[in-house]
Amino acid sequence: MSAKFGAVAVLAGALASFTARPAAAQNTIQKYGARPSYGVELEPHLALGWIDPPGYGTGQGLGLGGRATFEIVGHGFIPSINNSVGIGVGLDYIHYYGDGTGPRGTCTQFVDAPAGTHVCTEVNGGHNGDDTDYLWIPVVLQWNFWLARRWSVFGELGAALRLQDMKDLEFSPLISWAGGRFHVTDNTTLTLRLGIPFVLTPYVTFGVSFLL
Amino acid sequence: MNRLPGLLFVALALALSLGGCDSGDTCGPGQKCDCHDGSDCYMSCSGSGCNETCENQVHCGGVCDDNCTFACHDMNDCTTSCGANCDAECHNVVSCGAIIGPNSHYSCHDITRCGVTAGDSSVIDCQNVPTCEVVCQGQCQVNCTGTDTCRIYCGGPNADPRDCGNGGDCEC
Repeated sequence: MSAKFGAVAVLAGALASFTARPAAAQNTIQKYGARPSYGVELEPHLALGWIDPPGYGTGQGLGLGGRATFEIVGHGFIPSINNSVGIGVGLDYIHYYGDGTGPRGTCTQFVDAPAGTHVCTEVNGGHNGDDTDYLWIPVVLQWNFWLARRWSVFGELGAALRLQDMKDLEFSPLISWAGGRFHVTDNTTLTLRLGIPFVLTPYVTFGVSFLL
Repeated sequence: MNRLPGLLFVALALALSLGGCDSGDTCGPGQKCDCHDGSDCYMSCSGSGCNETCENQVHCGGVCDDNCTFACHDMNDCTTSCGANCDAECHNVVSCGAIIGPNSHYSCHDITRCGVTAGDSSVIDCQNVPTCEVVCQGQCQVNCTGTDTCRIYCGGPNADPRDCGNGGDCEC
């Protein structure tokens, strides 16, 4: 699996350098309003799971998803700098390839048996070998910092629903990402989002944002 | 900029095609379903002829249908729930529990506690097990060797237990 992620990373890097221009990297962080005007950011992306997800999935994962982020505060929490706030809703499908240690289902029913033992008689998951599919539905508050004409960064904090094995709905009460955008044009960016810490948010995304 | 959508499409297609190389094994009949070297693992396999194994865990359990084979060893507790004609083994574990269907065989050895609810015409072996208890739902045979307590309940858990003793064989 690492070769797959390596290939994707190389492609991403090549893509960024291919599209980069020696253009102006004017500092805009202290210039309120010096940023793209938009109401919603639509972002299709690749999703990469680097570590075991919560629940019974194991190993690394790869998938597709998207994010829609709606700007709610044009001039953000810090008046002296160029920042803004949005609410983001996402949908990410990730196929986890497993780590070779087994299916890791969870027992949902134990029945008393002789000698004080308790026997598991019903299992959720645990029937697909190592492979599992997850659907993540994050809802986050996104705080943007418009650093330069070509660059912006953001932090995200929120919660997520996750559909494990595409049938067991679980709740992740705290997830967070840190991300950055390279502005290919004023309203089109390459966007990288890293789950931080990985143990809470075990996947990263790379895609294109359209600021509309 | 005009090349950007095309390049992205190529990147996505390549990533997805690389992902498609995985075999995607499943816990189905005729395939080995195995848990090892973890904390908790519970497996399920539907259909006749499943093969489940579990080793070097803390907790492990397998659920399967008829004609299933199950083996577990080297952990804290291990449980088995299987249909008819299953063949299960549990050894070098603190606690083994099982619910097995008719015409099945269950073997416990070198463990602390073994508790089995067995279907009709099943055979249970307890060897080097301080406490071995079996509830037989019909006729069954219990073979105890190296046990401190070996009891059999004929007909259900509320029946009067029969003490099979160390080295004894019991039948319902």
